[in-house]
Amino acid sequence: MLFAYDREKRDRSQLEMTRLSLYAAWASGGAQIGRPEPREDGQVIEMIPAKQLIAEVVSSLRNVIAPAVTEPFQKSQAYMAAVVLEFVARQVDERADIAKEKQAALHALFHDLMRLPEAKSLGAPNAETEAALCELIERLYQNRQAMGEEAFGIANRRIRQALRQLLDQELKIAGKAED
Amino acid sequence: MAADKSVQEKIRDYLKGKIPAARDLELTDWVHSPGGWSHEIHIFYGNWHENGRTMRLGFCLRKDPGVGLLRELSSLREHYDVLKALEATPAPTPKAYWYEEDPSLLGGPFFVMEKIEGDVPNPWSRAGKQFYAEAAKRGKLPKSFIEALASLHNLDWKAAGLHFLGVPRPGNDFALREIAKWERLIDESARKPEPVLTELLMWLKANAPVAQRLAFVHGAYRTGNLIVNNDAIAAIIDWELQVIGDPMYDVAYVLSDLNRESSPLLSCLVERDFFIDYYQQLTGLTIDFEVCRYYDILYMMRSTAFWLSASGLFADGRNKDLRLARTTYSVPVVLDMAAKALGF
Repeated sequence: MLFAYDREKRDRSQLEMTRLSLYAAWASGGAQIGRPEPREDGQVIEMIPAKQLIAEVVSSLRNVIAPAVTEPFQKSQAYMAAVVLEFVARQVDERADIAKEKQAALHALFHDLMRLPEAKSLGAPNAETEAALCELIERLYQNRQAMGEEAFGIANRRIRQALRQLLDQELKIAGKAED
Repeated sequence: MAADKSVQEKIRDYLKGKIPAARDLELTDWVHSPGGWSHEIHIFYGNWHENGRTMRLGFCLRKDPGVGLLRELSSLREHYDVLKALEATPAPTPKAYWYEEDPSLLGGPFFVMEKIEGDVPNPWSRAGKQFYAEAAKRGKLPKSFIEALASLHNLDWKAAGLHFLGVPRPGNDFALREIAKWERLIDESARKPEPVLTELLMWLKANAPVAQRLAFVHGAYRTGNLIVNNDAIAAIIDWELQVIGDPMYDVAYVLSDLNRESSPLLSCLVERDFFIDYYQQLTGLTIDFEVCRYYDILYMMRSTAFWLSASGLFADGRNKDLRLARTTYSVPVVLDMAAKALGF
């Protein structure tokens, strides 16, 4: 399966230009919100970056919602919400723990799979990334018949265990309460 | 929300051309509905004089905004052609009047159809839930809900000329075609690798069921996509995902927890046992619960594709609607549901 992130990788400079121009447009509407910090590990940002989302909400409050509100007090509240959010944006940093936990889960998975005799035929991944895991899952299903159901089941269970760990990390942001 | 004046004038001029006998045509009661994610929806009344009589007719206009959700999968032309084909069938649908491809008229393709009188209570709102719960007690609307679905599954889609939707080969081709369709959207939309989604897709391909029979399938049959009037389904709307396929695909959607939140009623309206008995009685089909479970998981993949597409449009700056931004948080939640359904 090909993903759009492959294309995004190729077009990263173009995308970066688009983002820069977007942030310039937002900035012209009020106090400047800095563009997202590039991640040190160079990985693709997971969800829509928090600062981008805040900037869009600010833009919507200032340019869509507030102008449509006729009551003076409520109108001022909408504009003030935009201003406060701009300050909040400066306080926000993307969480680093999630990427770290995901990396640990991927490392453990690939380490275990390399030692599983049943998974030997799948070959070694070229990197311990989610993209490599996607390819591995596809290979596993493609080789299912050759591997046999028992070997497939063992490898699939270990992969699903790792998938659960990866998902739990994403759910920390997506609304499920953290332990 | 009133539509932009120039848009109203353009539509009025357009309708004058389509109803040449109309004198003093005025358009009133404008509503730019916030409901459409893939198309803009404008609802209004045309008022005019014709041969000494005063005329008033409700219209609904759907327009391609250029950057809507599911744009590549939801063709306005197909929507119009489906409504035209259904006019001669018992399925309750609005009449389709005119389709226009020319973007110079309104800035994008659009079509005009009949405005069906009634309401579309939102099943996710407190008021909507209460409406459906009370209607469930009265009993007429749940019956009508099942009868409208059966009217789709019982119709002779070949005679209605609906084969232009594409006809799956016998066997599991229908499920595989659906997976392929949504996988294309995922490929176009995903901004990062989604290994849980890859596992889900591979499982779906490896377990695709054989269709019991081919029928005309709505693809999103639930409260919220149905106009209700006088405790009956006045029209089935949102013709964007229809296919010739396994009727269990619609049945699974009705049975799904995805469409009832905390309500014990299917689609917040129908008792499960009553649905099963009455649907089987009306269609002569036997509900295959294993197949429905499979399609329920396929819907989770489809929802993921929706949300990836929606959040991708927002992230790329192509659409500023904050509803799309919210969907970035829906992706892990629906993948979590799928993972649990698959046992991990």
